[in-house]
Amino acid sequence: MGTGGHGRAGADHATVRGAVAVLRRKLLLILGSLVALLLLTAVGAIWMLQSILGELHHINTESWAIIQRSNELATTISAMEIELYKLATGKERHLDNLVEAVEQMRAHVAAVEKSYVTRLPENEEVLAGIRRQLPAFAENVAALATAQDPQWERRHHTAALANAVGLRQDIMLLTRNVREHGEKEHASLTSHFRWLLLTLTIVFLVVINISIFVLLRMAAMIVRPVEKLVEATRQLGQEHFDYRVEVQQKDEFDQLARAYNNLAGQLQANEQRKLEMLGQVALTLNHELNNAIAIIELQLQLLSRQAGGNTRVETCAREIHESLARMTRTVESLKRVRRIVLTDYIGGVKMLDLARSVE
Amino acid sequence: MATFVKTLFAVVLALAMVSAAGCGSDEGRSTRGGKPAAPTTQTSAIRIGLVPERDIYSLRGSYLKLAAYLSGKLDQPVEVVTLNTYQNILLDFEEKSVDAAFLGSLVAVLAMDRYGAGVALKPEQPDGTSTYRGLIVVREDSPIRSFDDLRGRSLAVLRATYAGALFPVWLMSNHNMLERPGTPTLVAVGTHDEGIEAVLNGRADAAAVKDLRLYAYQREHPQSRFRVIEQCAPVPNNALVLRKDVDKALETRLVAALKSMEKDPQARPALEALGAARFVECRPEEYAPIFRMTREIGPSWELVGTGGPVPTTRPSGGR
Repeated sequence: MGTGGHGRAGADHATVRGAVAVLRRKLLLILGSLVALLLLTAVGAIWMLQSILGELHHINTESWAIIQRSNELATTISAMEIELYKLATGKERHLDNLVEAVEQMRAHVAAVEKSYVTRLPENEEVLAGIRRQLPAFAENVAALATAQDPQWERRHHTAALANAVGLRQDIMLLTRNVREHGEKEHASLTSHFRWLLLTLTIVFLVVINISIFVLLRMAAMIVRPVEKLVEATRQLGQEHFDYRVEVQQKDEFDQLARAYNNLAGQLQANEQRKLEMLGQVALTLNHELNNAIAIIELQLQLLSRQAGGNTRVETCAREIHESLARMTRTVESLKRVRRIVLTDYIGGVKMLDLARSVE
Repeated sequence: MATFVKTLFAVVLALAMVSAAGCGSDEGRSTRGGKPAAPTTQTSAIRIGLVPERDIYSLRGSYLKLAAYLSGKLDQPVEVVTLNTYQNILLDFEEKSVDAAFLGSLVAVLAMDRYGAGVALKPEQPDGTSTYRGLIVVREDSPIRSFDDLRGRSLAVLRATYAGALFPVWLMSNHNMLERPGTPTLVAVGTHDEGIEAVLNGRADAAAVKDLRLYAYQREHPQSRFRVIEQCAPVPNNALVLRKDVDKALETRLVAALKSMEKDPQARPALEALGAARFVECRPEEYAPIFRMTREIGPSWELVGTGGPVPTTRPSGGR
């Protein structure tokens, strides 16, 4: 019987430890999920914002780089026109500045061509014009450089000037198109950015609300059964072994409640066994003492008759009778004991608080 | 506060001085073309003239590589000055705007004759060629077999050049085709390649061209076929001509640097860009065919298109 009780207690203890570990894991999982959700939302928001900012930066750098290149192209064309003028008027006979300007022009156009902005439909024709004019211009400059015939030189000079004017027009058009495109894209991205901010705000609000709801649920899931278990422990402390915990949820707290109920049941059974034993002791005492008391009572009655009015003897007999009645009541009380309530006696020894034990 | 302002002023002043020093050090180190400069001294840039006979961009690029190499080798900036006509390079010699120049043979003769310039070196190709000839070419299917057949026909010429102008004028003079009816119509072209193309596309029946350019053209266009009906004596190709009063020490260093290029691995890219294997010595005597032709054509010199008087100097003694 005792071994079975110990085994059950050990199993309950293991159950409690297991339940606590599972509960800890569950809490960690829920909290981890919440943290992960928040982190994912934050990362997603940062990624989207970064993407928009990246596009804005891309547009800014690309557009302004092209506009800057276009301005440099226009400056280079001006320089070329000046050089052509100087050559035509004999103010210059060296071609180096002109050749360098053409090479710069080629480099600028090559750089401009690499930009996606120039591949837009509205720029295709303009770029085609530049691609057509630039080699023609370079060829005319080259011919101008090698022409030894004045007529031949004049012809290429005029053609080069015409090409320069054409290039200037195309570049101005390209600059205008790029600027307009940049402004459009900028406006579109700004609008996109605004909507993204709004969406992210809503998403964050939803996530925060979900987090709060989950945390509240989690708190309720924990606090309610914990309160019940605390109350049960208090009852157990007051030796109310018949108190039982009822947990509606099927989880680790349910296991804890069952473990508690098992413990309370065991304590209640032990108490019951003690009471039964006390009842048996009371019956034995009742049986043995009642016989002795009956004999003492008979002897007292005989002694009272023989006293012949002696008051002292009668007083003694009455006190003995009352003590016997008290003993009888005590034995009767022992038979009615419902629980064991101890009280201090002397020298640290405890004795049964009979009055409270029969309540 | 006053101390801070003083410190700031000192820092700004120091920065300004450093910037000024930096700008100063950049000047004259360039290997690119620029404005005419004062006559050369040891510290100023060496200016080398160039008159492109073909693609100005690639040719100038090749000479810029050479200039960059020489700048490093001589520890002195070397600039390339590109000119559009042979007259202009002569003008630069006169105004001392260039110290040296890579010149076609006829202009080299004029520089020697008019300004006392001296020819120093000429590039030699990997196949050992350092000279060129003038050719009179017609299409392979042309009925023209000799120069005499050109009477009443057209001839593409390139003014102010030995192969493209002096040689055909000398031929016309020799064949008595200058002052008679039937003189070939002269079609002016800008480059030797244009002369070749003028023959191919029928703009001219024949062209007076430089043989090296014709061979290069044929390598690029193997389908084109020509017949050579006349050729002249070889003369140096694009020799380096130095101004008469250029500093002798500089001249020695420049010539030595160019001559040693063939042994210097660092010089290989520059030489390859020029299509040369090395620079070899060039003597004025090598221009004898030009001096002879100019003497023989007499007043017809005007047709050559260089302007100015006929060269009278006799080729003698190199620098």
